[in-house]
Amino acid sequence: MISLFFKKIKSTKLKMSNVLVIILSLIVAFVAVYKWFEGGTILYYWDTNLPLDIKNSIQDFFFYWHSNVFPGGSGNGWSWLPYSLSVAALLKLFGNLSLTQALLYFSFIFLSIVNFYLLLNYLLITVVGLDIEKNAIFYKIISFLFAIFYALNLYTFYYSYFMFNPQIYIYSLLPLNILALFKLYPLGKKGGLSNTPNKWLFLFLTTLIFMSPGFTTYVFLGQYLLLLFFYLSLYWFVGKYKLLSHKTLQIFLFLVLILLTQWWWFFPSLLGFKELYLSQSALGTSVYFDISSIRSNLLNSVRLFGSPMMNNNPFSWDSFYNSNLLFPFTLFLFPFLIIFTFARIKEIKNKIYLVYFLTIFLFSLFIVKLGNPPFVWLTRFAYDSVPFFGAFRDAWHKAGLFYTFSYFILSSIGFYLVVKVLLEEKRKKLFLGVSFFALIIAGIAVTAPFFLFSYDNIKKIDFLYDGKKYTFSAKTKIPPEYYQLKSVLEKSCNGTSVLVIPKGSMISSAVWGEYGNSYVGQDILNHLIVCNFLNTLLLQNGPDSSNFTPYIMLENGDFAGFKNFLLQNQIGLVLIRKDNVPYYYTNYLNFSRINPSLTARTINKDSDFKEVYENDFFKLYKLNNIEKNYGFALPSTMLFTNQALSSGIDYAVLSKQMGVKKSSVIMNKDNLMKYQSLVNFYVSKANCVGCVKITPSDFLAEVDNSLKGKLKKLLKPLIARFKKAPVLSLDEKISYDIVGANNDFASLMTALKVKDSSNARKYIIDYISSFEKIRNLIRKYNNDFFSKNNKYLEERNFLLAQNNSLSSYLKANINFRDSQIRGQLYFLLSSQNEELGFLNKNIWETDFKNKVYKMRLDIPADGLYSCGVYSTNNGLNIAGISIDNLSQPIKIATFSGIYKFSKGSYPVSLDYSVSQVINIPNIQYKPGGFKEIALGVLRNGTYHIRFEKNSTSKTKVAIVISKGKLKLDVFKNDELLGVPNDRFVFVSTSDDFRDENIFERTFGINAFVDENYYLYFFPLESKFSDNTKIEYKNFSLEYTISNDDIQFSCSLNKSSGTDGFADKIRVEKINPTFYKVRLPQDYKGGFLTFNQTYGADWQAYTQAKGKKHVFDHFSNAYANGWYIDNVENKEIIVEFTRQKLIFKNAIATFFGFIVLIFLYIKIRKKI
Amino acid sequence: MKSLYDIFSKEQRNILLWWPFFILYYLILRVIFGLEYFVIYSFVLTLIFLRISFEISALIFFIIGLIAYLLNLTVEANHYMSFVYGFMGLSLIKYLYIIVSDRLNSQ
Repeated sequence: MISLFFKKIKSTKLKMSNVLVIILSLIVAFVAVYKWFEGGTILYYWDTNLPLDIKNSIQDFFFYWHSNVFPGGSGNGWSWLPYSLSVAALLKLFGNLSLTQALLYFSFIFLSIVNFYLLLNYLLITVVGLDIEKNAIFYKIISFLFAIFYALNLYTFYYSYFMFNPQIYIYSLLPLNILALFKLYPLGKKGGLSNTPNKWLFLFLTTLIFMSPGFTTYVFLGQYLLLLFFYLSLYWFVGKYKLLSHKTLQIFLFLVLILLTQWWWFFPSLLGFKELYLSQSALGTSVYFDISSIRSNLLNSVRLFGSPMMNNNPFSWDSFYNSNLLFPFTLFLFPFLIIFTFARIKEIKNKIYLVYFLTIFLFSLFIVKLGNPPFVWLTRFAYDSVPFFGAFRDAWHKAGLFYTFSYFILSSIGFYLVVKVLLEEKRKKLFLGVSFFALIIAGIAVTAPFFLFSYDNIKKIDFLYDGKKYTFSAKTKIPPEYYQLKSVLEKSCNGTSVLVIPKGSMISSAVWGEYGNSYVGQDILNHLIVCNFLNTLLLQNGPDSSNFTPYIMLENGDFAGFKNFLLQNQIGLVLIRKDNVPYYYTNYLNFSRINPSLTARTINKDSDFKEVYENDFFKLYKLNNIEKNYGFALPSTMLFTNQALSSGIDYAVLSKQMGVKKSSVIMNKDNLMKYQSLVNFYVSKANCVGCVKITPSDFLAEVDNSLKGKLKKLLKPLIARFKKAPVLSLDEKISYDIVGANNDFASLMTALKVKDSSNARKYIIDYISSFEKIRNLIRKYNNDFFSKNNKYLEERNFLLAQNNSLSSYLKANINFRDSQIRGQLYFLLSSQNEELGFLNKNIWETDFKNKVYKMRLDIPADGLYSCGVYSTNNGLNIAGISIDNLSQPIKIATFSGIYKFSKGSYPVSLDYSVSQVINIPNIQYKPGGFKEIALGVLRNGTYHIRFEKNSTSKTKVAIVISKGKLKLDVFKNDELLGVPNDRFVFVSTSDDFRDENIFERTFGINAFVDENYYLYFFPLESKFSDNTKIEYKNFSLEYTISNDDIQFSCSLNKSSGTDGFADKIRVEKINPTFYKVRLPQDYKGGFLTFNQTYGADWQAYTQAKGKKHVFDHFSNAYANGWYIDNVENKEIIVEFTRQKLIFKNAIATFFGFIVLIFLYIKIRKKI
Repeated sequence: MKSLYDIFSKEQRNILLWWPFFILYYLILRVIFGLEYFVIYSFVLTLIFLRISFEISALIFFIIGLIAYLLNLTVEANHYMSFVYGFMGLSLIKYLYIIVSDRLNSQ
């Protein structure tokens, strides 16, 4: 029966087999995706960007300004339009998200199989030179099997399907695209074009255009263009065409056509490249080098596993690849076939194609293996020195696409050759059977995530919250409550923004218990609902800092401040989510107090908020008195601040100081100096003195003893002779000498280390002389209080490092042989101690021990200032503040009030106390015993623990603080290692004992839920050195403060006190990149602000006397501001000019493309 | 250009120089000397010196790598894969050289 079937295929030649291939491909694609979408679900996980709503997704991709996340940011561009349009079309057609995504997945798999099959058949005849008519059945089966392997393998599973990545657009269309290229420009066949060149040209260009969603990862486009350029160069080279010929011109035009098919979307992306690069390279690139290399060595990479995505997303069957020896052994068949191809290259008809694929294979494999041998130095050099090479940061992903493509082409050719050789053998049936068996086994291993391991190929994350187990699953279904909210919210969110509680991170999550669903990934709210949400991160420091502010205020219990911030920023809606279960990657530990139900209760009590909607998952509140002006305002206040505005706390201080003012222009940079005279509001924040502790060892750099270092040392004084000595102030001179003395000290320590007595003597003399010089200069230094204090701090920091280093050296080398040097060193140590004593006595800095927080307050202008303290530490009590202007100190008992200041700098001292959690005068226990101390509930914050030894016991003990109670058996039976790590706050042996008698340690508590904590003392040895009772005294645990906990600031208000025209502005939003602003009739000019993220392309202009008048644009903190100096026309247009530019570019590209295509066809016909 | 191609792909007529025997030779060396880089590099030089083609040399190292892998010496097997990569790289250079020379000679 089967042989009859095969005979039928043979006799009907290609047609029947092609139909069969299509049917089988459809079946394979259906089987592969069925489980993911069964029951009307979608696959949605982590980075997946699935257009959930037609209008939202098209708006998101068509307009270059993304305003769905407050306060907006510029987008990647149009490359994703084919993706969002195809999803939109399918959604419109079926009205079902699950079916839409299933069809997409299904199409990609089907296209990958069919296109690769077609390419292989072409290569079979043209490159390998096999007679397709003879033994056609074998070759077609091979082509089909390899097409399945190409479509469904470990790479496509991890990088395209389990978490959708639009690179699959490239992957599925690339074989057809390359086939069209081969048809248009066949290698080794001079001038020979296909009989139907127009058909192949159309296919080539169409596939290329549809590949553009994948090219959003620009490195794919770069690689694609390189491999195309290389191919056409090979074609030109092998064809021996002249440089000045029609053929060369035709190839050139073809290249330009290729560029134009991508230019329509790439040009706008190029405009936003700088912003993208800044956010993408924030972590650096080398950080990925070692992490990504862990398992992608050659041995694994040649078998298509060991990729970072595979390492980071473990499935239950991972052990089959990572620990099992035999299962992944079968995958060696593919690299073997590649080598075999080249071992039998003589039998290949057209070798140049193989050279082409081998080049792609070896280059991409070199990048894929990343930090693994051979030639790692070359890869590292490329990462460090070649511009934008860091784009290969997940190398397996970025280079893997073309690697996999060449991998399966070369291995399939290898298998054709194996079959060809075996068919000539006598016992061909046996050998062929064995070969096909091996191929099937290898195929099962390479496609296993789709078929063999389909029982677990949906990503799931199990986690615990408040003792309960939850699961996030990639297979999910958006509940109807989200669509209900959408219909309500979209009607009321125009002109305002929506603050979501709790705040999501880069991604968001939800657990929908009643539906048995959940999600962890891109926030569904801002992808589904066309509103402006203040929720997830923008990955830009300025706007993200501002976005943290209302949450910081809520966490701190400052509800009035929270409400005021909403009013100031035109955030008119608060959405409480009830479906969020806190998870480390999607929620913030430091916002653990922003409990949705607690926040809802607080909001309910405030009459300014009105509940407008509620369902099982959401509660929506509206804030009264909000201007719905899309973030536009006409402030009458120009505010100057010395804050960097780089954290949420900075914005919180500013918001508090602004009080009821709704908007202002903020000057904290030099670019607004020209408007300096308009400043009418000053906010000055005092900066802590002595809060930033520098580790003394940072100063003791090693002496560079390399040849380069020695040469530098030798040449430096010689060069200095010819250089004019700089004229230094006393301030600079001291700093120079401090660094010089430190260098002498470092040389001395190096000489001592290598026991070089003569040099040690020399450096001792040098150092003593520098040291004395500094001591004299610093006594003479007469400057203002803070400059003098800074100089003392500078010397102290260096001297302390040197002193620590010297005393440790002397302690370790107590029997130093050279008595002269030893004497000098002790003398040096005592001199250092004496100087340190002087400095410590005179330095003015924060004293954490005695709880005095010292700050420098810079007052920018004379006047009456309103001062206050903003604290984010709940365990902190402020006792009083003294502001000392040296001549007339101000001592105040309370910490807020109005005070008169002159321009200048003021020392501010703040006495504080911290709440004590526990205080035990005496702790005793017997050696061999254990001691448990209940610490009670510890809220998130920083704590300090301290106690003293009160016994002579020499038994070594360890101290543990644990979350929850531990069974004492774990200490007895060495089972401590079995306790999960996250139960421990810290485990300490003896390293935290200061002077062997006092134990001190600072630690932080960060948890989503409040828990009871316990401290344990337990012996480290099973046999005890003595039986003395172990005793500790003065055991205390208290809150401690960190840098940001105390914010003291003063403000001076010189403005009229009203908000001027703040609520008289009228704004019409045409689209996210275009607004019409109507100024009040009596408006005389001033500032216009717009609270969307600053972008140089935002422009405000008006038509005055028939001419376009563009207003001066500046960054107003993280947002935009303009100075309106012409009010003839009361209508101002505010637009993101890049949008218009890209539109013009798209039209120009389109017409350029049409012209070029005609020119190309005309030239081709001439040849 | 043909001569250059012949140099790199000379047919071996001596039975002792049949490529599978080189796997055996290396394994003997490996047993005697242990895993030593000088042994591997000497072996590589010998293969080049005996004009064993780069592709066959790659195959030899690949099979040695597989044997090491089956003996659970995965780190060592990974070393051999580096040599496979190296020989494939040399093979590519050889073919690119042939293509370039061919074009230049025809001008």
